Amino acid sequence: MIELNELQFGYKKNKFVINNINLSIEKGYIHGLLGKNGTGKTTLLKLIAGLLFPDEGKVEVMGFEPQKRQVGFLSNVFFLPEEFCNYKMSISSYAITHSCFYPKFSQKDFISYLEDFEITDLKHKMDALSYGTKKKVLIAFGLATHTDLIIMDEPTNGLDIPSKAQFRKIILRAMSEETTIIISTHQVRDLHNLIDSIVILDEGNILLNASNQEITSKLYFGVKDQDSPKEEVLFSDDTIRGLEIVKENKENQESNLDIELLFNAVFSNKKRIKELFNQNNKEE
Amino acid sequence: MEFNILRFWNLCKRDFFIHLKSDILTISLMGIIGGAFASTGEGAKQLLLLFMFFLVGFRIFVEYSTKKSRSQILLLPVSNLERYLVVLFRAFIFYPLCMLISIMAGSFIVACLFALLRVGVDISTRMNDSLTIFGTFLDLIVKYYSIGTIFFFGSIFYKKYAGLKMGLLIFGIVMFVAIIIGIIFMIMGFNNNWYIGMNDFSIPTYIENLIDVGLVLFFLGLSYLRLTEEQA
Repeated sequence: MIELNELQFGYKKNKFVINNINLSIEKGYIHGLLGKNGTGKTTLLKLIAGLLFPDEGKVEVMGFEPQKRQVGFLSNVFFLPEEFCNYKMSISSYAITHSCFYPKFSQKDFISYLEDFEITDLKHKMDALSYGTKKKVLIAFGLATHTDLIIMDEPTNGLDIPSKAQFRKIILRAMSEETTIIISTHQVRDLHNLIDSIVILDEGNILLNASNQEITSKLYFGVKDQDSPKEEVLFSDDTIRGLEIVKENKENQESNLDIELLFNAVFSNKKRIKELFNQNNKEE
Repeated sequence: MEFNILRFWNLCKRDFFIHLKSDILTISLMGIIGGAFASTGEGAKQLLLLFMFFLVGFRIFVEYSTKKSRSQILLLPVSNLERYLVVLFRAFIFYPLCMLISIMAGSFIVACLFALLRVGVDISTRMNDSLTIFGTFLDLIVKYYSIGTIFFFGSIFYKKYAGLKMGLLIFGIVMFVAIIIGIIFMIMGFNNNWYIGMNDFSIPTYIENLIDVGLVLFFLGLSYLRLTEEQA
């Protein structure tokens, strides 16, 4: 679906935001792109969408070179930016004037997603809506386009707590075998039980790229028992549930992925995590 | 280069809706200014035309001026050529036509108002005057199309205050060329009366037309290339 080969990009000469990235993203899954602020998440998404052009290396999405901005590519990609411009038109006018460019757009689904977000009056002016409501409209529109690739940059920013839960439900409802969704966020809890694979970026490099299954087969997430040897713990966090830990899953125990714990474990043991996952990839 | 007439038409409609309010405001402003000054001399008309170019320079690529709006338009499923042709259509057909109609209507209303205040209205005469003004401006627009293309290019090249920057740039270039020509004529022996030499010097019409066409093609081509290289 998406192939990045030795990709380099910088806003200034010789200062790369994306530094020699190789990445392969599979079709039909929800991928989470995580990273701290300013690590190049948005830049990477823009390179995939064709909004930015690589300095070095190659980006290939669905067989297209995004920077060529061919209609066949653009009609199959929807990009929801973190910040968007104010259109001085109603929600229904926005849908009418923009849906005609997306051959698989479904008005019925658009209305249904909006209703899930409790937006029923389509006569509201887009520029008069709050940031969160505007985001909901664009999320609903993006999912209703039924493009093969949907890219969302910080989609949960500005959404209230019930809407975040609704967002997760809607995303799952919109998924199909043909759809690939990439969600970038630094609010890792928002993606809980939503994503199938995780890419973690750090200073323009990929720290981790693995499916949930692979992660839970290599790492164990749980509450620490007394007999866990101290050196095996990659990260621990003292919570009201006890000492939550991430450790290497040497005994092939089953556990549920905790994205926040994983995120912290990756950043506190970069070298070990890289060794662990690279070694596993080589074995495969 | 992909082109599809239906996508082009849909993009025109989208553009029309997005810019509707600001277009009405701009065109009304042109009507008011045009109405007040259109029946004055040739110089005022040319000044008004320059003002129109400024407006085109400021507004025509407005959707490409900020990152937010640029990312929306660049990711719309249309080809670069369609994106370009829509802006070209707005700049060189839609705007001039609306402005001509607006100036004609404005000058007609102003003339009627003045006539009403003095001796009474002769509608047919005022109508004829307005049609003459329409014709004069149409001639001027055709004559200065090449200048319009420079502003058009400036509008995509400069993200902020495009019209103003291009106006200053053109003024600077004109001044520079005038000084160079002046120096050449002085060297050629016209001494302090170099402007006499200027008066005697004329470029054949076909070369003028060739330069005009060349300028138009150069700046339109450059604008297209610039649009294909836009990032957000």
